[in-house]
Amino acid sequence: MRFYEHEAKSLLAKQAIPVPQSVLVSDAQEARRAAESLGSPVVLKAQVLSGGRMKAGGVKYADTADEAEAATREIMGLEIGGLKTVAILVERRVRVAQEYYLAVTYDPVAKLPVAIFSSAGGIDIEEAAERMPEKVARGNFSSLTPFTDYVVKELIASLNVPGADLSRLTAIASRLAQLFLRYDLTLAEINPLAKLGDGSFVALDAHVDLDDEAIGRQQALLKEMGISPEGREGRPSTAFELEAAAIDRSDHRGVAGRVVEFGGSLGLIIGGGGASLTAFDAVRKYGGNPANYCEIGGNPSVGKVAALTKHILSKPGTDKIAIIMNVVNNTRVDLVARGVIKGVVEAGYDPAEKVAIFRIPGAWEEEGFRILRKYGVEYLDRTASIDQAAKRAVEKTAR
Amino acid sequence: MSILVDKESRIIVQGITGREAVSFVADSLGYGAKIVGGVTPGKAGMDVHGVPVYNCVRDITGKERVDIAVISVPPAFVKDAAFEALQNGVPLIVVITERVARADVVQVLELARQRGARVIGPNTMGLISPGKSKAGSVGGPPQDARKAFVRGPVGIMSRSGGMTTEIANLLTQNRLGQSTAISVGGDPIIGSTFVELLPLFEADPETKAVVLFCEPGGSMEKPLTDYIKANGTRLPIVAFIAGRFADAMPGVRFGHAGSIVQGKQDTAAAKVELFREAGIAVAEEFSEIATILKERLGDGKHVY
Amino acid sequence: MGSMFIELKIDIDRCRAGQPCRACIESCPVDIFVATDGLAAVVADNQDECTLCDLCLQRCPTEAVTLTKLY
Repeated sequence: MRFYEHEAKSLLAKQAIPVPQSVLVSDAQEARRAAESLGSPVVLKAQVLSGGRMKAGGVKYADTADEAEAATREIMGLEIGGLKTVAILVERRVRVAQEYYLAVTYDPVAKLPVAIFSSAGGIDIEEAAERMPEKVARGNFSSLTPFTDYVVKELIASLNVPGADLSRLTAIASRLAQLFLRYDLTLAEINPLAKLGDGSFVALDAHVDLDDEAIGRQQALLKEMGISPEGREGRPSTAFELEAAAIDRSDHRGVAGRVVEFGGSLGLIIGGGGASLTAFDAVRKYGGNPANYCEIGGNPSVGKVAALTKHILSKPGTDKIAIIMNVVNNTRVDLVARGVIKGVVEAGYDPAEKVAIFRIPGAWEEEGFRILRKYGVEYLDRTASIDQAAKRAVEKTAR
Repeated sequence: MSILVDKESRIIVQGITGREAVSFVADSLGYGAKIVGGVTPGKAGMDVHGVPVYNCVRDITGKERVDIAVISVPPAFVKDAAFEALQNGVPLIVVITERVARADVVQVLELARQRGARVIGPNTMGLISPGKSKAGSVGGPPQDARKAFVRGPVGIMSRSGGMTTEIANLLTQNRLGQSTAISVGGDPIIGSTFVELLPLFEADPETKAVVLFCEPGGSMEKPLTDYIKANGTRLPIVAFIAGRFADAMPGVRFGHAGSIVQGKQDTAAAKVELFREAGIAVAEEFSEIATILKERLGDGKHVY
Repeated sequence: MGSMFIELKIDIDRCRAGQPCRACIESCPVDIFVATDGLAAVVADNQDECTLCDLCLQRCPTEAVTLTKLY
């Protein structure tokens, strides 16, 4: 779960990492007052959960309160990377002498936390690592041994940081690492970390991700900071996806309804994780146009599969549906077959005509195949692979 | 032979009285797995399908050898369960539970390294050596597991639990048996990645080829191809990469927690390129996995 | 809509002969049976959820339950 910049900075400030003086505003009037109280010049920054904010015009500089007011009007409505700007952070502008980069995250190869430091701040770190590896230092540290400063001191010292800066940077990096560990973060990044004319440091921008699986145990932090996890997931869900999610929630038995909407003519009821990816690729490879991506599994109830089937058929332009899963161990073929047929019939269609292909081998398959035969639904057993099933579905469906 | 689990493996299940565990314990026993005990605090004295339940891991390790601990407890308790098994000397931990916090996973893996132990998962369905034994829910009920899995020369490593069975089924349909099939887990950080398991397959005389099932996201492939470029491998490897469509949708999670494209390095396209450079055959269609394997295995003497 | 795949019936007289009894109600994992007027009754909408576990048939003391597959 990604934090907005202003939230990330509040978290840094909580750990005594210096951030610019700022005011969070939601309209032009407030921005004017903020600029007046902070003292010009200021910088106005769109609060949005996507990167590329600068390029998209989400950051503007203002020398006067009038300019701040005008800039806010331009930024407030901005949609960046498909995501809405929810507020504007007005910050006192500072004079930067040098920019550094500092981050703590998990290293999936070493399977340990890793601190990353660079003397080339302000740019994309992957790019920096490629173009000037001598300016980027990385160091893993233990997740079991209590954290101490030398870990980051060694890292920063390896880039020959001058004199007094080493101690100041070490203190900030150490606080960032401790923040990362204490609050279940998966990324804590300061970019740029600016050195000012007077030799002090300040975090000009920050990116913090909280582990989704730790939201439960970090309730106290979220509550204290007034942060709600709702509505932060990538692009906003469509009405069609929300309805599918509601179907999934309506019944705790199994998964049937994790849906991503696409624009095509072939409705898909596919699962689980890996099989959905395989089936979706196969449909596209054979020239099919999926109406949706979805995942079912965990032995969903008949009613839940029926509701999902009906929902997928309700999408305008859906010509047929295909039901494709891997060889199932837990999910029952017969129960899915019942659900699909029930959903099709309840939607007012003939299963023999509306179901392009049904391919789920595995638990209770004989019983399932009997049901499918009775309704004249074309099915494939375990001798046919997922891609053969996808090919057949595409052949039978209008593009 | 096979790797990590065989007929002689002595298995315990932590969280044995949970709904999922009760069901896979029955399936595993039916398949021939030697489950010597289970742990659920406060339920000592009970039994699950004849398997005695204890309060603590040491109540079992204190009196008999334990080779594998299968962990199926709620996410918040995984770290403690794994620490308990590791500190009591269990050398292989299989973490079935999904949605475990990253910080906990990393600590478990670090302790495992200190103890010289191996972890499979989290978010795995476990592993199976066909005709011998299995640890976890992979393959389902014994009659279903016997239909999909047959003993033979191909090792399987899969990011997806369900696709572990699907690949075995495809191979079995093509008269290619399997030595050991491992669902490595769908999380961003897992105990045993491809590169850590490959040497075990290389050391196993029964294994003559390996199949990989990959998804977008994560960084498991690069270390594997680096290893192969540096050391070579006697095993022909065939990979299938699912979710190619997701390359065009960075930041959207499809399927497993780890299946999210975050940079240029972890797209399906980048993985295809890495594999080709390292001499790993990439199946363009799922069913091609079997065709390529047959070619690479040669005259058919390795089929069952 | 009623059931399409599974039909469960309770013979009222046999059920009455077995009272007091909640065997089918308590054994069914998908809540197909409810108590009505001191007897068991079938919830029509739930019949298609039947998992064919046969517990209701096994546990009914008077063999009052019949299960028919409609396929």
